[in-house]
Amino acid sequence: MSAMESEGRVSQAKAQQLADEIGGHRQRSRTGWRAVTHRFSQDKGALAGAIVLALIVLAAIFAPLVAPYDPIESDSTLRLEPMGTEGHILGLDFQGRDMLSRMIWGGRVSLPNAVIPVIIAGFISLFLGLVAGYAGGLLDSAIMRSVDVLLALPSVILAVAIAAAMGPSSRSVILATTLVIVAPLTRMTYSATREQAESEYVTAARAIGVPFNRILSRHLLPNVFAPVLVYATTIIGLLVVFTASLSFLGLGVSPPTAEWGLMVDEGRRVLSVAPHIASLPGVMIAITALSFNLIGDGLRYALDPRQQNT
Amino acid sequence: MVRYVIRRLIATVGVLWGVSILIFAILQFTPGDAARAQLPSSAPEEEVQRLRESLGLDEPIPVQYSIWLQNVLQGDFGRSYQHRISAFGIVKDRFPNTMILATSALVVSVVVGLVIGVVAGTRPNTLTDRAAILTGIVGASLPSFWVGIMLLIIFSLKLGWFPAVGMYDVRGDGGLVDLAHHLVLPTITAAAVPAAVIARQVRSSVLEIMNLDYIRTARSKGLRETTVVVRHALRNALPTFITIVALQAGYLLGGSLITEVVFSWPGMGQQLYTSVGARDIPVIMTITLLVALIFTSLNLLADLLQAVLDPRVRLT
Repeated sequence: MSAMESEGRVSQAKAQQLADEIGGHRQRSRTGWRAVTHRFSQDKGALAGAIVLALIVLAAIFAPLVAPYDPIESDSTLRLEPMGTEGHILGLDFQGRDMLSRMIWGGRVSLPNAVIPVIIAGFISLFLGLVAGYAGGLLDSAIMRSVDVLLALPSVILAVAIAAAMGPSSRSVILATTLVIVAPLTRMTYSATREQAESEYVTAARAIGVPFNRILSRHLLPNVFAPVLVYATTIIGLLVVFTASLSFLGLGVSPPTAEWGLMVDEGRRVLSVAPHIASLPGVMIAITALSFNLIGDGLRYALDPRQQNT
Repeated sequence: MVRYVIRRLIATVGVLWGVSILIFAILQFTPGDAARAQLPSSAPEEEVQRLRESLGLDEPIPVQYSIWLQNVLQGDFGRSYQHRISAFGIVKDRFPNTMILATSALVVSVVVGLVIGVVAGTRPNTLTDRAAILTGIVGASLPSFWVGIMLLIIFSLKLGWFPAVGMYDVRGDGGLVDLAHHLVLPTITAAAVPAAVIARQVRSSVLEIMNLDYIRTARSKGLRETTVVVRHALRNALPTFITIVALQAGYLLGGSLITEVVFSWPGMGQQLYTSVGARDIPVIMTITLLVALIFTSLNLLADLLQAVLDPRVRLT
């Protein structure tokens, strides 16, 4: 952060002057970000992932405009028709609903299911990890032992237990998934905080009497935020698969809503006569997860080039 | 070492106690009357009230918890809402079948993952290495239930090489050959993703070790490359491998549960799927607790093994 940004009260002109005086300081930090975007754009895999993901997200947002048919409206005369049927390029499902339209609409449930938990869990984990890592003592033990308990259950079984108790819905999937990822994210914030808490700038801040809250929010948070953000990005790909699995098990939205995991489950009943119904939504899940994973890998490397080989 | 073992044991018991509180808490959020749900709908009100009293449902929450915990420790998880019989009894019958599938998948994924990871890690930036990286990232993106369905369509429905459902042929003799035949597709399904993840992690840990000074020393002594890799590099990577495998074993257990659903494998996962459909909470919680027990024991085992192999661990 440059001197200009940390001093919010100075006027624009004065800030410019200040920046010029410091000379190159601003320039250098910009080069840092430019280097990151440059490295990211050099990564063909990450770039391809970003483009494919953008297409999927746009299609989901503009589903009412893009999808050729209504996702729920069925034509019983065309039940189970295969891919390449006239007017229905990806075929129709067991009720005669257009597969392409259902897959486009499915993104409106499947994508938020994977992304919302990361955002919620990110905030919770930053808070818990920072407090536990810096406060120490009883708070530290209470928070981190609870994290241990959450980590003692394989994620699928923990999510199933929570979502089953709450009853099937998208909300259950999101809540269960949030709880599942709060544990690893908190542990990560915690160790990053512990590392930073011992550094000299924190000791110095404490020595001049900076209050507890301020050390957390102004000194530790900015330094802990970046690694947590990168980690959060890299797990979205896993969550696309994870939340689809929960829907597949019948814990997510109920029929007739289109959702990728649920569509795979619905297709299982007619596997021998119409294999495309179970196959296609799975391809969609895999492509989306792969895009997220490629972006995550690219981002990790772009922010820390030393990690290229590890 | 003894002190380390005792410390780890106490921590494990603590975690399991925490898990029991977590599950009890989830149960509290479940709507409906647990006593009513465990009895046939024709049961008279007095009988429901009697069960309610024996479960302590009229008592304050902490008392309820201690009654529940005592029952659980004696193997009494309540009665299945769906079948009105002991939930533990239902799960107990399914348990060995899940372990057969999970063990078989664990062996396959560890062998495949280790081989790919070591081969790729010792040859960085070659074609083999790049292929391994690609397999790793694609593998981590595939939903295992979908992989299972694809295998089922190709090798069972189209080619007819393997049976699509169950553990034994109805007309078969129920022998080992029959079991192995039914086990092939579910094993590949459950093992595929963990194998990719293991390969990826093993690769990076091998790569890191191969760049260390003592490996260069071993090479400059004129040792054969095989000796350097096997005797020097892998020996040092062993504790890391154990952590990687133990973690995957847990995921694999979760993955096997989903695989069972695809192949109608008569294990805990299939039971879980039916119980979720029927909202049979006692059965779901029994399975949850049992899986937590296995997972925690695996972690404990991994920690102890690591302490045996790497003396530094004992001091932390």
